[in-house]
Amino acid sequence: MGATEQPFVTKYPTDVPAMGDAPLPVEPYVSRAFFEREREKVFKRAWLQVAREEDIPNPGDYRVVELEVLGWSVILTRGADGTLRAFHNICTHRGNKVAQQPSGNAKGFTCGFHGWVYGNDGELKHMAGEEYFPPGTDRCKLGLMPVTMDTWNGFVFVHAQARPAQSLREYLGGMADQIEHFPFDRCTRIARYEATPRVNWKVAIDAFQEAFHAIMVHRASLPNSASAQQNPSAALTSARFHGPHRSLSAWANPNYRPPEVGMIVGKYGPTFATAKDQFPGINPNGDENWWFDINVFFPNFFCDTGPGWYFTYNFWPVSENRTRWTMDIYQLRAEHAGGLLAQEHTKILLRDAVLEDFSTLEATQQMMESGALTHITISELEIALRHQMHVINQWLAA
Amino acid sequence: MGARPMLPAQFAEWEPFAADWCLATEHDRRERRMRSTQAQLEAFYKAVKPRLDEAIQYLNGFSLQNLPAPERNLLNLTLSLVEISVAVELFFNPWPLDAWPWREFSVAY
Repeated sequence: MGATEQPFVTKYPTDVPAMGDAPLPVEPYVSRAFFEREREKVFKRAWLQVAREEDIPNPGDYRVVELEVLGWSVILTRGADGTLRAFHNICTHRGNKVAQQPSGNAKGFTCGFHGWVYGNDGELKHMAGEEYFPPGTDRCKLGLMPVTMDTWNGFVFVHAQARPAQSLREYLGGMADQIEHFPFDRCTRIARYEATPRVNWKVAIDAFQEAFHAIMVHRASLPNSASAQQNPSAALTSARFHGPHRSLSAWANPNYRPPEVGMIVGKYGPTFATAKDQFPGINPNGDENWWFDINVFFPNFFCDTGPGWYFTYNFWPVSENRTRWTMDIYQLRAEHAGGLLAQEHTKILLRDAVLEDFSTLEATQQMMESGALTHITISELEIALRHQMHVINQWLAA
Repeated sequence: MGARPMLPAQFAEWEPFAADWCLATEHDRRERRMRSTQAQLEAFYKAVKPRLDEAIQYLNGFSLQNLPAPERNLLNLTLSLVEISVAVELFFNPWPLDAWPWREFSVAY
């Protein structure tokens, strides 16, 4: 530490795993072999967040989720009985996809190859050519193949295994306890953005799980929002470790001046730049100068929460250096025009700030692949990066 | 002017901006912002921001489900102000300067 003054101290209310303080090897961010191990040992063994329940609200509604890392296409569909189910998007006859549209409402799915018809409960309702199949071919056993699925607080998760070692709730553990009471059901989606940068999925995740970068990357969009003389490096105000997951509270500069139009519309609804109210499920340690919580669900899902809004990221590896990223922004439903304008400010500022975040990703990946650097040097400000790598190594070894 | 007014009478001073900025979608507002000069954005900002709060209070008297056309236009104009406000207040440029290219992003909602 070069400074002589006492540095700003991040609080750790939970146990901090023993992770050492050595530089992190670059190899896991560039290696195809390492990525193949992650696919087998991490993504095929973790609960993966794929949708919100309100994406599939009514009987017959369906949505197809492409999971490149598993090589799967999954249909999420709500049956006439109101039950949400997940199936492989595969005709059990010859393997064609049965749902061709990314979403819709249908009583079921008709395979475009030979016309087998499945109900949205998965049952094979019509088996074209049935009388020509060998004796003993049982239509009742040829329904759509189910995918393990569960929901928590409206978030839909799937699991690659038929019988996961842990239930979803067990897996979420202390992370779910921490944000259980956030009123997700009172919020509405106000934006979804997608991009597929040429970057390893962990390089992408790491750009969003520290506040340190705000002093440089966000010097235009969020000047001095998370830093000030008493905390010049935007150290976190607190951080918690919940098994494989982690939650980071960004510090708020009490003298931050939010943009003026944000202040005006912020009188009529929460905004990312201005909201400071008490709210359920946020600021778990009651930090004094608290901005928002960065909640990282292992392996690849974020649910960042603030007073009246939340936003999520999903980082889907496509290969060792290609990641499909989606961002969804949600805010309390608007009762009037003022609420809509507050939603718009949250959306615009986050959207433009994320474009700044993305400016580093592909260059970082390209240079990591150059081989010039064998290790990256990680500070306590970036403890979440160390934890992500620590957990991945644990899962690869198990 | 002579053209038919687009906005409620008490906000008639903003009519010169109405044709350009009464835009109904984020897509259209962002496109207009990216096509504008900083001087154009600043002129729009300078005209509307002083009475933004008044416009919100006026609009809050209407149900969002049944907004008459002039009030719908007024809401869309204020949404445009939010879109461009960050260019005027933060970036001092129509678009963020150190940003990943927008064309690489897709808007799915």
